[in-house]
Amino acid sequence: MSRARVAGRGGSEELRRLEALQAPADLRGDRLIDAVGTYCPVPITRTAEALRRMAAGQVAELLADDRVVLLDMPAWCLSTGHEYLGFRQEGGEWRLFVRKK
Amino acid sequence: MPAASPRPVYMMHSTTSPLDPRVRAVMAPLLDEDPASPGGLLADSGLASRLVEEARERVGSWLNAAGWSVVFTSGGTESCNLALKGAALARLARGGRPGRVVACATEHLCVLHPARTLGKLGFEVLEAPVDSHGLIDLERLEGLLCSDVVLVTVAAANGETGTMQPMEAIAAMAHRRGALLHSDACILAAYRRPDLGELKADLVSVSAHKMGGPRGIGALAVRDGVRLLPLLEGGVEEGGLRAGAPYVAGIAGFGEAALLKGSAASGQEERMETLGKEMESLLLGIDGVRLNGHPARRLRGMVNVSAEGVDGEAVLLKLARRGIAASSGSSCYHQAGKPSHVLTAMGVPAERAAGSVLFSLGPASTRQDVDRAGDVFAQAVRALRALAPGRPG
Repeated sequence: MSRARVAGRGGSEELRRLEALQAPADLRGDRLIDAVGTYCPVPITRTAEALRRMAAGQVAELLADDRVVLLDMPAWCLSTGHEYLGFRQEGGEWRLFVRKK
Repeated sequence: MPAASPRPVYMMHSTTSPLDPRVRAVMAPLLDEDPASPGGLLADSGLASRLVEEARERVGSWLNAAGWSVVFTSGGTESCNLALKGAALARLARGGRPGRVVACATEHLCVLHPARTLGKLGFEVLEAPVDSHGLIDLERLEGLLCSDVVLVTVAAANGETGTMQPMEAIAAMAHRRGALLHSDACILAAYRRPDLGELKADLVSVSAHKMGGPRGIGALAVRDGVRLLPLLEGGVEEGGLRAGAPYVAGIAGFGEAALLKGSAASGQEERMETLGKEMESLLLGIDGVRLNGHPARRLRGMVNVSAEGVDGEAVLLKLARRGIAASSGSSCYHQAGKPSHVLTAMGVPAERAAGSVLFSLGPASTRQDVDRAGDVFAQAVRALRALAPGRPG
């Protein structure tokens, strides 16, 4: 499902909220996915793959340097039902957190 | 007795094409080689290189590559990576400053991603915009070219829309600035002979599996005098530009596919184009269906449409249930659920981009296939619109 369709279902406000969501400084994931150096859609597909092997309620922590993921991940979470917990910036890289539904 | 179900219709040739049985016949004995066989690949060290060189000649002849080197790779993706990174790194290795790299905004990700990586290494990477039909904006391209431009990269035909670029004009611009021109011709090769004399580029990427050849093999054609740094080093294979034991069966298969394409019954290309035009008029005859791509400067065997008010993925599902294989045309869409970067660059609104469906015909496509696919598409659109009141029906 695309950003357009998420927005089309009345989710545009929620999407904007998620895109700006900062993760708490002490949040840690149960599993780290290091996707630095890869480009969209690889960070999303690797997160999806990791989540498939995790239990409901566990948190995936994605480390990425393609800033496009800051828009793609919240949209992907809205469409799949996983909970987007926000991001933290670390220099030119970002940590994003997703709780498995 | 229940009626026999109609034969499956495959319209994803621009993604990949079925292996031609004549190509398979050439490859099979090479894959099934018997180590004890006296004349086999393992025992006769010269046989592998003879097969590889014969294939190189066949691919070269299909490309009209006199004055060029044909370097076998693992496919179009590797060829494009080798072209971009190889040319850029060769410049750095000789003490040059990283310069500018200009890529058409609608290039495949196997071009855009290595370009972005070059950006991380200090190159200035810019994207040349396209118009609403996907044609590169020549005036804007000219504005992006400077004396420091290293490489310009523009696909001869786009993989989602089939829109064909004016390569001669682009080459003239790039060469005036002293830049190399790379062209990804993988999609073009699915429908037409990628004649190097006509493309006017310095580096041309092709792949076997969209033209009846095997997957896992492609080539980069390199104009004499163009310097590249190899991505894979440590061997003498492919003139040192691509080290590693060659995939002989794949290379021989590619050679056979090129030979077959070169000698294909005349009229095959025209037949695919004619059927594509019929497909296009069937689909555009449906209320609220629009073409994505250039109406004329296009590989006509590829028809990418969006039906207003319906979800492309839902249409594809309905088509698949009736035995018709089409695609969304965009890997991003399938894997990350985002609209195609190609359609986005063309200014197609996100909702329409999310509804796109690509039908790409092949040499075996028939009039019956076209009629049935068009009919099932129309039924799918009607059914989906009936579920969404307020949409055009």
